[in-house]
Amino acid sequence: MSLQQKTLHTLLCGHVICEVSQPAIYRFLHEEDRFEQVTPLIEAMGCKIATTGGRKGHFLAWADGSPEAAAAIRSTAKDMQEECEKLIHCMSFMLEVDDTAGPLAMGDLLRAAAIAEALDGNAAMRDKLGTLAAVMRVNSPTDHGKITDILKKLKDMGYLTLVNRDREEYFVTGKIDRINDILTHFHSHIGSLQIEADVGDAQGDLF
Amino acid sequence: MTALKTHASLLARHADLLDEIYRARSVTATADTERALAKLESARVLLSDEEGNYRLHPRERRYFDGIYDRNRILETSGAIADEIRRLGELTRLISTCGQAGDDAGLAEHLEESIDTIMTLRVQIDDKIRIFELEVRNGYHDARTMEERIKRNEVYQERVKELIDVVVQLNAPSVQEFFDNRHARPVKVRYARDIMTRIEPWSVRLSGLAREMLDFMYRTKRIEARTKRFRALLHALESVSVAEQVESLQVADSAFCGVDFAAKIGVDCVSEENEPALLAVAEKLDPEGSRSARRIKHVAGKVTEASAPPTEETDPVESMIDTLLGMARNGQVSVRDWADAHHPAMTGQLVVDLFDHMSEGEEGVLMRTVPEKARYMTSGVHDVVLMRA
Repeated sequence: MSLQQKTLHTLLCGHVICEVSQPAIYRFLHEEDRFEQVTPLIEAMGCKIATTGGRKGHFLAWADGSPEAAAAIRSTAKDMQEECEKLIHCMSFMLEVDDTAGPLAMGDLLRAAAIAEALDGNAAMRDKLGTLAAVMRVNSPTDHGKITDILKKLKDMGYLTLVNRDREEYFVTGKIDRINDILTHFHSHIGSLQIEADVGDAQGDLF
Repeated sequence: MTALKTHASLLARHADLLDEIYRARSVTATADTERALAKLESARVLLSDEEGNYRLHPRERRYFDGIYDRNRILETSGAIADEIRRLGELTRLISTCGQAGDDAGLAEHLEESIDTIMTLRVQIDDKIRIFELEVRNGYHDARTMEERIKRNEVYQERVKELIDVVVQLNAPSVQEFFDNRHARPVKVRYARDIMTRIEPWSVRLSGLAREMLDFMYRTKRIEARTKRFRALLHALESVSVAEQVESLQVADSAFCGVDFAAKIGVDCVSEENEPALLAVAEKLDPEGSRSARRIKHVAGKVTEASAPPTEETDPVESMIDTLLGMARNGQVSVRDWADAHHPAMTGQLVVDLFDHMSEGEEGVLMRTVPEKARYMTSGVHDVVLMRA
């Protein structure tokens, strides 16, 4: 199968193409004129290649303003919100584990061992893991089982890609940007959110 | 004694000498140290040049660097200030001597200033190396954002100190040293030596400072992002799901990815897909049996090779079938027929037929000899089959 065919198939399967999850296809798509070559094929189906807010991921979406898009967004809004909620729980849990890298972003490395280390002897964190497991509908009896299952679930949802099976290490894919887009959307479209979330990112004095 | 023990004990015996060589970079052999140096050289710990100078093998030097760094990592402050002060004094003395035409004093002070710069060089080198290690490890070890920010403040202080040192060296002392007209002959002699020592520090420090600044900006950015995210989460908790869904429903269509995952299917009837389907079936069910057959069936094609193996027919079953067939045409005694065709199996055949007929067979009746026996054990000798 040629890279162009693979690209179309990946888009049709609903995947988000990014440098982490499909490096070959991502590079192919970013070669000169490739976008122009693929776009007419996608447009013929009444769709477009959408780009995530961070401009690091591409996925197939209904063309802007089409009635299909409106219908699809009506039918999937609840699912999107559910998925968003799951991810928010995960991101917030990962911030508790280690906040030095900030909220999950594309290219971050998630290690089961690091999560297990953070849980070690920390009852509050174990409770949080329990809550997260419930949200993610994971019912493994052990902590390690829960971590493994949650990571696997995230991988199945397309947010992670496996780096090392034995060490249970995963990279975060560009699909996470979609969740960030949705959060930004909430921020700008739900009136009551606008003031509270508006924390400036001033650099402050360094020296 | 193993090779490792021999080597380790050699190093331990000459630890003081090695320490001296490590600090001085190279030493010349004296009557006391000649044998030890030769031994260390033969063990390839030291290298010697034509002039009889011994220095550490680069591999050993790296190894010692590691050890010294580990031990010195905690010592953050040194005595650089004293040397710098002395260098300043020396510069003034050189200037005075130069103006007064005191050549002997000038040469003496120049020698001392070079020594001082060499001492400083070792100390600053150490400090910068330790600092680099601290910074790199420190950033990676910090488990929380708070800790990173705290460490940043410490590093900022340290980098300021080091930059000060290098600036002091560059600006007043060395610059004056070079500007001193009376020192011109020695200037040429030492200029390169001193500048080559000082320039790399400036380069390394500015590199390190840039790296730190970059890291600090990154830390600030991450901190800001984390804050924003946390604030948003906190705010989202107060917003109902219905409101969130509603907000999505008025969203731009960019959010609406087309999910075709479930709609792309495999054509199971296509002959071209058959090998792949069979491979899947065999993988799922290595016994090869039912699911493989089912998929073959779906594919609409059962080949000879993959057809289920025909069961080997039981000889007794076929005899029973033969006898029942004969019975449908007329009366037949099982014992007589068995004696005529399969004398070795007569007894078993009578028992089997009795069992078979006890379960009932359409169109055939059984009469036992003696008659009306209900159980085989009540002395049944023969079974006669007849059409019903």
